[in-house]
Amino acid sequence: MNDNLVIAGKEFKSRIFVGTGKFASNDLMLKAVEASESELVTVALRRLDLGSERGENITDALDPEKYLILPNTSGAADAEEAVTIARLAHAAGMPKWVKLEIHPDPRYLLPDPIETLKAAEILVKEGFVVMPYINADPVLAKRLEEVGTATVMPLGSPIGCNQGLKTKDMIQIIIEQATVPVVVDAGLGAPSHAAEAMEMGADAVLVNTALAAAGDPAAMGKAFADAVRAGRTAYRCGLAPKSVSAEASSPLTSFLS
Amino acid sequence: MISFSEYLQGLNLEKFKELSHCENPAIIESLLSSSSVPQGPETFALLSSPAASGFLEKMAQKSAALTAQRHGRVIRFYAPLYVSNECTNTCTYCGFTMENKIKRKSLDFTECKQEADFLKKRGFRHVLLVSGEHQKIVTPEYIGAMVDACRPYFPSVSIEVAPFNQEAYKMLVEKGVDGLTLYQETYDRETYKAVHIRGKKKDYEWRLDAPARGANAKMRRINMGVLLGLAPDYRFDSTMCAIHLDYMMKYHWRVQYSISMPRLCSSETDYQPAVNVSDRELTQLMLAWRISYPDAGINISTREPSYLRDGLIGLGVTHMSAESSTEPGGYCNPDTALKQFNTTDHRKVDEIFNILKLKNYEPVWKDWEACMVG
Repeated sequence: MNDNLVIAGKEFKSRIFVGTGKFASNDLMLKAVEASESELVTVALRRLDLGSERGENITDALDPEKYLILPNTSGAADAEEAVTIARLAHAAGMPKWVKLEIHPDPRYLLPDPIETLKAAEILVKEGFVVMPYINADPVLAKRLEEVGTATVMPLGSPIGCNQGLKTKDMIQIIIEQATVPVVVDAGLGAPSHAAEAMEMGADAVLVNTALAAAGDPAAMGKAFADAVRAGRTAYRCGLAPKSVSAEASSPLTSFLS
Repeated sequence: MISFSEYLQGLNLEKFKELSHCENPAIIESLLSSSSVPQGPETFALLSSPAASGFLEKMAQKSAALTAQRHGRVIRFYAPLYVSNECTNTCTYCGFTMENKIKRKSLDFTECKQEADFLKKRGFRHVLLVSGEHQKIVTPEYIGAMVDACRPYFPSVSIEVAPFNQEAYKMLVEKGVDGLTLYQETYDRETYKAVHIRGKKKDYEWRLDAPARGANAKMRRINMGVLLGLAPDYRFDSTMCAIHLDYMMKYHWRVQYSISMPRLCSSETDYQPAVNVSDRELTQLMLAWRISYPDAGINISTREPSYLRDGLIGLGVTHMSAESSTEPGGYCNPDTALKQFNTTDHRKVDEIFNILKLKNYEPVWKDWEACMVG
């Protein structure tokens, strides 16, 4: 049986998604994406000049046969703005998929749970495949699942901070309870962070800054691909347990004898 | 939302069966020595396996720690209130089976109030209304009337009746029912077919989807289980219940779940259990439930002998019944109608409370406020 990831009926061989911001050039971005083996690349609609001639946008550099180009609503401060952006992206010919990001806070770019749930409900009803970026809040994850989102994407730590899985315990609960794929998004600064998320049972990870800010983005893309594969394999075969302290001595089952 | 039957189609049940038949102690040793044993049906299957039977003490230590941590040193008490033994099913193992043509009784509103009053005076605040499954007599409306009779006496009213449709459950929730107990009895389709010979209960799927219908109707608590002794392979049967619980926890996550492990008791039938689950095996099952689902409640009723009930306090049990009668009207007028089965632990509530105190446990009568539903 293959171990492909399935989101809204679409299969992905790779379990790493890549964001396209912050790269020094489109060329470096492309090389990093390629080396990461990713098949899903997310692009902020606000970065695209939809009226421009071919060749000027990030999306022009990406082969739609090879990558699912996932428009994201980065920049939206509330549900209304996010819904508008998603509709616009679809009207511009992009897939009817959306990475829903709503962050009214310009400093840490932390997602607004209330607006995200509102926007998700509207977009799901309109037929979008919705992948919401959220704080690692297990109840919010369940509420989003209930309105029909295709995944949930909890953050490991605030976006761009490279601090890794600061929300690990909550992500563990989200994974345990989820009925849709869980994609750990944001904060994964090193391949070891990505491996850790995959070992825990995350279905995929999304990285951007860690590649864009690396000395050699393409080499780092490869390092992440290896780490994600290793983490996934470790999860699938079951990690060896860490041992615990000695057993208590007073027998609790003596009543049976 | 997918149904449990659809959910099952995506699972490799043979793999679960294999795990529940595991005979390799090294696998259990490794699982139990983990600092965080994973929750879920795989763990349940392994811990209910023959290989795990050699690790009872180790499982008990773990289970005791988890129980104290997640549930505290308290046991909640409830009483069953049998409202009717009328039944249109023929189930070969049950005292209420249609074939037993004697002493049928359905409480009327006043009789139900009398029973409720009796139980309230005894101290109970949580009541479980139990009935046979009679399509024409034990209808949702009849149960609704019994709920109305009980509400002034109890802050918490649960039901253990025939599987109803979602609308009926919704009506009952609106009347103040907060808990649904519904056992599939057995998940083994062949056994299910063999023991449910006539009546609506023959419909396996209708029963299987009832907990989900209850959850959709906003039941706060759902109690599930298999009747041990029906299916020969009780380990895999219980594992199927764990898979069902897992599905419920994922898709109906607002509900608080608990598990019962009733063993077939003697009744007015000559049914012989397909397997006798020993006290030791029952203990192993309870420990497996606790370790694989640390947050689930675990019920032990008066079906079980007193020594076992006492021994299990602290190891995982969260809910107990006491001084139960299994005949309609049996509290105020005992031995006048047909019992469903014979209970084993006949001790008075006070006697059980004394045992709890010795073990440094607190009995809890009331743990729900009626104003939150209905």
